[in-house]
Amino acid sequence: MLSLNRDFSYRCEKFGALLYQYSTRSLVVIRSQLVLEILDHLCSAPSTDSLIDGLVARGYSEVQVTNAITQLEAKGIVNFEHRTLS
Amino acid sequence: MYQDLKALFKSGLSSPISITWEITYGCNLSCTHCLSDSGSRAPGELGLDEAYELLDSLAAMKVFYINIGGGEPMLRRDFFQILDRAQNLGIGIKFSTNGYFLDDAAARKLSRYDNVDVQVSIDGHDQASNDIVRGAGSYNRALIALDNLRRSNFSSTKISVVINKHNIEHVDDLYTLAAQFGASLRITRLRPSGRGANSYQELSPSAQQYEVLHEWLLNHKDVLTGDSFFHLAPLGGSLEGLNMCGAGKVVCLVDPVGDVYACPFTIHPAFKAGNVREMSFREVWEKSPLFEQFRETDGPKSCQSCSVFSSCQGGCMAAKFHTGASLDDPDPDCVRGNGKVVGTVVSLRPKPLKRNVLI
Repeated sequence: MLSLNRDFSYRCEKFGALLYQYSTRSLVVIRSQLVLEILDHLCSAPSTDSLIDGLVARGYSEVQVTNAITQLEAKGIVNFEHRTLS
Repeated sequence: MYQDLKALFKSGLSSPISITWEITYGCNLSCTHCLSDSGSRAPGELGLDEAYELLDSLAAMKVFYINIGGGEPMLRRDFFQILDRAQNLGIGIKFSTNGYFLDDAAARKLSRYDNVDVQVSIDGHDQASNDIVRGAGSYNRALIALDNLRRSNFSSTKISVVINKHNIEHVDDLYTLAAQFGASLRITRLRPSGRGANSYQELSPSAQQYEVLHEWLLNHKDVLTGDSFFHLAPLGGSLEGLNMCGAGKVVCLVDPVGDVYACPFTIHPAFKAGNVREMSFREVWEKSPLFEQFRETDGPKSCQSCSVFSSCQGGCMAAKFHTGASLDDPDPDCVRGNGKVVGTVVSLRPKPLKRNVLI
């Protein structure tokens, strides 16, 4: 399941969103609509799959969504809890 | 990138990025340049319940961090309760202190917090140059506080210096001093607000000194500035930060009695946007006609035809106001030499209590 790393806080603005990183005291402006939607739905989506499905239903391709999530994870902005394969 | 941010931010954000909250006007020192004219507590400073209420509002608005100042914030007996609440709400804290009350125990306590920065104020590289501004003994007490923080392995210490015409010649020494304590150096511009209105002309660096400082900052990108030297932006290069006046657009100030002002350097009725006892902080931020006016203004009229207007945007509003200029005039330290000091406008804040007491 995806979640926002506790080192970050973000909020929406009319031009997109602001993302603040506590540990570096740095501020980033987010203007990508896809990234905004991922961050917006982090809390409400019951699983990563449903988050991806929801965004695909809004017109994004699965590749676009998974790439964006991968980048957010690589930057440490979101955490991905890996499930144990049964 | 910063030009882009300026364009995005100048019409105002949904909430401040940060606010400065002067939690008390009480102070054990009487620095000659104190921006809030601190010394004695104001009558009716916000109590702990009101402080909690304000923090809750700020958290609901997702204000990322608070600069806690004063006065001397550690004079408040509920200081650590305020920090606890902020930490629990996920609000970062940067607080400024003269270090007198930052003993071993306090340093150990501070080292257990996440996202708390301590800014120990020092205004000279040695005792003589510091104490003439901040008072006898203040240099040594600041060094003791810095040592306590270092020994407690506190990791986010800064030495915070208000640049004047004397210490500007010793920024390398100040940089070394900070490094000795494992601290970062933070330097900010002297503003003519509070008691600074009376000492501004005497302490303000010259245009030539500012030019040298600007070059030095370009070569010391790890030195923090609180985005306060944006009036030097036309000198070229790119200083860290937004390089714009964020008053009422991205920042504001809450004073000890809950009055909300445009920025830390505008504690004057002309810049008061409201009071958090009379309406919520959100209402003040979103509906204040004064803030709306700042967000709609394109900068001082007399600067708009200047070829470097886009880089400095006319400079610091507080610096103009407290030197008697109109907000439509250039910054008194305009690098093109268009500014001038007309007079002195001192801050007007609630009358102090007769005696300074701990809260």
